[in-house]
Amino acid sequence: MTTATIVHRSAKGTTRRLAEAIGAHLESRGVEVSVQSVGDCDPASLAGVDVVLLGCWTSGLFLVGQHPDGPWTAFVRDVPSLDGARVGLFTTYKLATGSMFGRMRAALAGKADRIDLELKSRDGRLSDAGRRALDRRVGVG
Amino acid sequence: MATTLKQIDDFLALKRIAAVGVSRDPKQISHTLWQELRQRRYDVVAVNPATTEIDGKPCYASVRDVDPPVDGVLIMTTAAVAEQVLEDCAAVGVHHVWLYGGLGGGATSPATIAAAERHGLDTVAGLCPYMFLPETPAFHSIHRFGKKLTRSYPKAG
Repeated sequence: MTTATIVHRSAKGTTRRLAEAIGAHLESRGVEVSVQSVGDCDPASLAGVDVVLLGCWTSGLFLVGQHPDGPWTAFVRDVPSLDGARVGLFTTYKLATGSMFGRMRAALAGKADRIDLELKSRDGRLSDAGRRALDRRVGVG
Repeated sequence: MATTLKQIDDFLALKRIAAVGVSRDPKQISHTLWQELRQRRYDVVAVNPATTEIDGKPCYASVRDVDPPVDGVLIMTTAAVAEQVLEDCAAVGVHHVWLYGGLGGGATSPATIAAAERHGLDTVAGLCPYMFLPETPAFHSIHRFGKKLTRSYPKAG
C-alpha cells in the first residue's frame, strides 16, 4: 500500500484543515495516510515514505515577500533526503502566494530530487483541480 | 509590578509548559495558542478539568496532576479560576507563570496579580504570548505596535 505523510504548519487552523482535506482525499484513494503538525512530526520519520506533502501558511505582507515561517523552515532543516519519494507542497493564503512556493522549494534544496505538486487554498478546502492534481502526482484514482 | 521583557524571555525559554484553560474549540484563542506553542516544539500540555483529551492529546484536570512536572504555567482562564490555579502552581513548585491578558482582562486582575506576588511567583501579567513569538500573523504585530504606541509595552529589565 502506498504511504503518505502530510506535515502542516498552521497559524490559525486553515492550513491544518487543508492538510486534513488532502489526507481524507488520499485515504479515499486507498493510500495509508498520516497527517501531523510540524510540532508532532519527527523529521526522521519521513525517510522511506512514498509520498511526502509539506504545507505552511503564507507569511508576508499580503502581496509581497511571501515566505514560509520559522517553525516550518526549522522543521524542513531537519528533514532527511526525500529522494525517491513523491514530494509536494501546499499553502493557504489571503491574497496571493507570490514567492511562497519558491521559498519553500529553496528551503528543501538538495533534499528532494523532484517537487512537481503545488496546492493552494484560501479557505482550507481542497478544490476539484487540487484533487485531480493529487491523483496524478500520487498515481492513484 | 510591571512585567519586563526579561521575564517574558525567561518564560519563553522554558521547555515544558502547562497551558491551563485550553478550549476544545479550535477557533478559541486558548486552543490556537496551545497549538502554536506545540508547533514551535514546546513540550506543552493542556489542562482543562472538563475533558481528558484535546485533539488526541492527554488533558489534565489540574496543574497538580501533570507528571512529569512543568517549568512554567500559562493561565488562560478567567481571573476567578486563575486564583485557584496560582495556588496549584505554588503547591507543586512552579516558579514561572503567565497570566494571559485578553479582552476583558483574561486571567489578569488585581486579585490574581496580588495572589501571584503572595506566592512569590515570577509572573508575566496582562499580555498575550503571540506578541512576543517571532513570525506570527500580522494581527499580532499590530497588537504589539499598539502596545508600543500606548507605552504599555514591557520594558527591558
